[in-house]
Amino acid sequence: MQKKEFSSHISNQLNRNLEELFNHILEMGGMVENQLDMALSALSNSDIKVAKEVIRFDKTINQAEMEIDRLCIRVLARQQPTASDLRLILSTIRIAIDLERMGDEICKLAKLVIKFQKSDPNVCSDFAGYSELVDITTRSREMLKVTLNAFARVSAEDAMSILDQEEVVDQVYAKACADVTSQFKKNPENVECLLEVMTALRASERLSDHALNIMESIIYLVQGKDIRNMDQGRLTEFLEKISGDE
Amino acid sequence: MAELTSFSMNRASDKLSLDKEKIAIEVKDWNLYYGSKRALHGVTMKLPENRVTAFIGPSGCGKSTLLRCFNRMNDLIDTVSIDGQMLLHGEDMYSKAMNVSALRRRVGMVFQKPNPFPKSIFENVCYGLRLQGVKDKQVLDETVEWALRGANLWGEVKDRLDDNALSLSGGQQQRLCIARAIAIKPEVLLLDEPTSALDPISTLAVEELIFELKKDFTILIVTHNMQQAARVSDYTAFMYMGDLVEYTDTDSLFTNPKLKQTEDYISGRYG
Amino acid sequence: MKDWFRKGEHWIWFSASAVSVSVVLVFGLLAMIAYKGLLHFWAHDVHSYPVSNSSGQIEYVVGELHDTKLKLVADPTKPDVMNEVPEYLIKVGNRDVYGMDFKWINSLNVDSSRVEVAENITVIERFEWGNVYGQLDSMKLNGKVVASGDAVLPKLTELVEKGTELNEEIHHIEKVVIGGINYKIEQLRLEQKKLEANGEFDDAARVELESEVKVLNEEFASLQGSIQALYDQANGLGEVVLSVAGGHQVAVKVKQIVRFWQPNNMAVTEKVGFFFSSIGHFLTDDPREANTEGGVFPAIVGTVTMVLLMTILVTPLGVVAAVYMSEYAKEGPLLRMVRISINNLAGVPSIVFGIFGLGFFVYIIGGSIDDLFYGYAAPSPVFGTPGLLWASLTMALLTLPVVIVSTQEGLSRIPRALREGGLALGATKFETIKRIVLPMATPAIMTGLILAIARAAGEVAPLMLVGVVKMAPALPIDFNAPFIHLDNKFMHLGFHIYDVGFQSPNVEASQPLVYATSLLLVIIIVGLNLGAIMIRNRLRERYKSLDN
Repeated sequence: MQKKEFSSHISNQLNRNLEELFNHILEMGGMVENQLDMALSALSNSDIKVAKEVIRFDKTINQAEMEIDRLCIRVLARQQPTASDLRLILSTIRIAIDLERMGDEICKLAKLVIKFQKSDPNVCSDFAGYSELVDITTRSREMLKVTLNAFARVSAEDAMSILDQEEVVDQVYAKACADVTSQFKKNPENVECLLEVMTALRASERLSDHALNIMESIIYLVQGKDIRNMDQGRLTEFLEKISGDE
Repeated sequence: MAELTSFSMNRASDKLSLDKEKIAIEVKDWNLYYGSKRALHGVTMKLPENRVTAFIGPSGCGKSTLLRCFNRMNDLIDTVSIDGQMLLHGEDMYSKAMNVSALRRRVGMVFQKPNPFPKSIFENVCYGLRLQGVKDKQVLDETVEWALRGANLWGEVKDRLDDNALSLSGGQQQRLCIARAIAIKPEVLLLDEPTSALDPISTLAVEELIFELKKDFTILIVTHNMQQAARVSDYTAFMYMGDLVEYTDTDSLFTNPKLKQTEDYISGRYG
Repeated sequence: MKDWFRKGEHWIWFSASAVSVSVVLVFGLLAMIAYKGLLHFWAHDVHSYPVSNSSGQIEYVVGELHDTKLKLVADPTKPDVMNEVPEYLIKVGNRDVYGMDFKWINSLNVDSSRVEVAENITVIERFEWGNVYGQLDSMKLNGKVVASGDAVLPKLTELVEKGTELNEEIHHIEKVVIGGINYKIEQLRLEQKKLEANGEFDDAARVELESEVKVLNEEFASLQGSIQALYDQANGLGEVVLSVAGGHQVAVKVKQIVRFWQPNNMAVTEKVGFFFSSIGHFLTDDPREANTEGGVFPAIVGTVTMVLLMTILVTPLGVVAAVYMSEYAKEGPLLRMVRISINNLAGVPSIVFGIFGLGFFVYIIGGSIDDLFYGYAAPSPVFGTPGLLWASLTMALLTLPVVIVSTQEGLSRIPRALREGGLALGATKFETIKRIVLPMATPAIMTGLILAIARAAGEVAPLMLVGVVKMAPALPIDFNAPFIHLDNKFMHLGFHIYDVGFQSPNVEASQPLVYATSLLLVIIIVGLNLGAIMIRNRLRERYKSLDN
């Protein structure tokens, strides 16, 4: 599917609806990016005010997801889209879900900041896994940006880089988990903090998973191929092929 | 820090609702009989202005019959008798004082099979105007151009307005009939399965046209093609065996109909 | 063989041969009429036949070979055997000398070796007494010889030309100018009678009328003077003397000569020219000699006028009736009966229509009109007598069913969708019919008209009762106001054929004329039909492709 094919239907109605959906996703994606930036800043500066703002903002993101849902159902019921238009609707629904879940996960990060503020500042400000947390979160932010760009260009050529990033994130996550686990044994009195850190780490790791999901949806949109659960070898082959095509 | 308040998606609902609409035609307890056989049973509905209302239902459900009541074309059939009330912007359409020809100028009709007159394209479009006594060449020219533009046919025929209308293709002929109908600027436009005799591309062209026309006219369309009703209409009425079964905005009807009968018909689970 | 039958081939052969036979018959008939009719206009060779009469002497019979018949004659050598021997019909002319135009001679009596083409024989067509066949002798004026020998021919040519001119002028003045004056005088007389009947004929009116009559009479007198002068001139042209077979001499006054020719001296081109000029005379001259000679111009005018008038009458009547029956009338037993009656009307014998026309139109309606409006003209009937109007009306009635039926059929073929389309735009039923339906039915209406015209132009029997005469004193249309005279009697080509063929004194002379007139009638009807068909085809083009 090419981007310019949006405006080429005989039916202006359909054109308008598809373009609307497309723009909604980009807007929602923008919102999630903003939210993630705020969370990172809250994390780095231990800013409770920003953290509270992040949580409040999640409501808007949920509404956006509902609106996109409603629009998709309406287009399906009334316009009977086919072929790439149908894939666009399907991808849109999936991406919206992933973005909404990302929003939820970001909220969890913000909650960490609040919790740490509430508790003893000396105990939790310098904890293990903190740098990894920021690292993973930053990488996820990168991945989100790349996938949203890919969606805007309706192109899957950056899929490979997303996969690579995901691998790195996995490694960092593994190391962070190991660190925190070892801390459990060393400083058992910080168990509460450490548990919170684990939760946050898991949340930020999930962020990268969702970003990867979004990429899979984009590949489905562009190429019509469902690459979920594809084994690694075939996947690499496939991705190289499509990078070459584009 | 980005302000997250500007939300372009903040539309609570652009859902249509009959309560908020201005009404063009009101039908009150309408019954129609062919001799002793009753074809329409107590139909009551309000048809909104400047919207497209579609009538769907299986063959023989009475949708065409009902449509033809709106411009009193059923008067041509001797065996038909009616009872009930039909109001066009508050005026009783079937009162003895109502001039039938005048009514038909306010409620235009486009038929299933294109029926252009065997005259030139220009003469076809301005036929209704000539009937009203308009002779001024300039007025005729302007109105014909306006109507042909409105029917999305101007570009294709502007150089050959004197050609015989029968030399046009099917889709063009149907659009010509639409131009002819709108040239007299009716209040309501009745479309009786307007695309069933056309190929898919012409069909889509006419549907696009309907979307444009509803800005100026109230449009009532009968179609046996449910998908067309879904694409084109703001409100849909489902009829079955002479009864009005369900009548609501198209979004609701096609995503969540209230009655099982409607759902069965729409999803193809009948018979 | 069985296969051949099963395929239905025998039906194809059968229908094809039926069609061929029909075509051959039609064209054969036309060819025969054409041949025999056109023979009339050709300048035939004149032969001299030496015939031995009963006393054994040789007579010379000079004339045109008109016909040949086979006669059964007893064989001189074998008394019981009959031989077929040809007999010749020779047109010898010179009725004033011989007493009859034609002579039969038996080929046995003719010395065929000595039949020769008579040199320098001259044929003169006269206004009265038929043709003269003879040798030019001399030209005389007031008893004195003014030309003889070779000088006769050129002088004769010159004088006949002048004579024709004079005759035309005289004819024009007599028929047209004086005829006009007479007509005006007659009108004034009727005016006077009308005023008398209304009691308005006072002195002032009398003086006015008398002065007008006086003016007209003065014109008449002066015209009489001019005519007399012309007559004197014509008489001063002298006469030509010819010697005819049998040793007689015939003198023909130049003013009596229509034209003359020398058939044996004419080259083919001259004969072709003569042929076309004969046809011209046939079409434009009035008839002479009790319709056996001359032209058929008044019959042509009468036929065409009646057909056109009939068309004007039958079209609105038939179309309106068909529209009513088709669009407005409610289906029911009454309508069915009306339809059946109209269809049956087409089968009524035409003479019955003639009697109806005579009884109803002429006597009852015509009589009433006379009583109401023309009381002053009594006792001579104006409309209470057969005439152009009643003849056209009768023919209109005759052809009405045809027009109604074809119009109805045309209307029924128009798809309902078009009527609904018109109504849906706010037209009343009448407007829809007038603007959409009726124009589209025009080809069918024209079809009905074609059939009507064909029938009307050919029917003779009813016309004999309601307005056609053997010889009409005036044309139904001329230059006198009101230009078309509905009360005039008129001549008709069909009747003319009957009259010439079967009621004339000189049957042999009139035979070729019968064929020529038949040919003309066929050509006129075919011409009218072709015209209507062409109009209909053009209309069909405009309204075709309704089912795309």
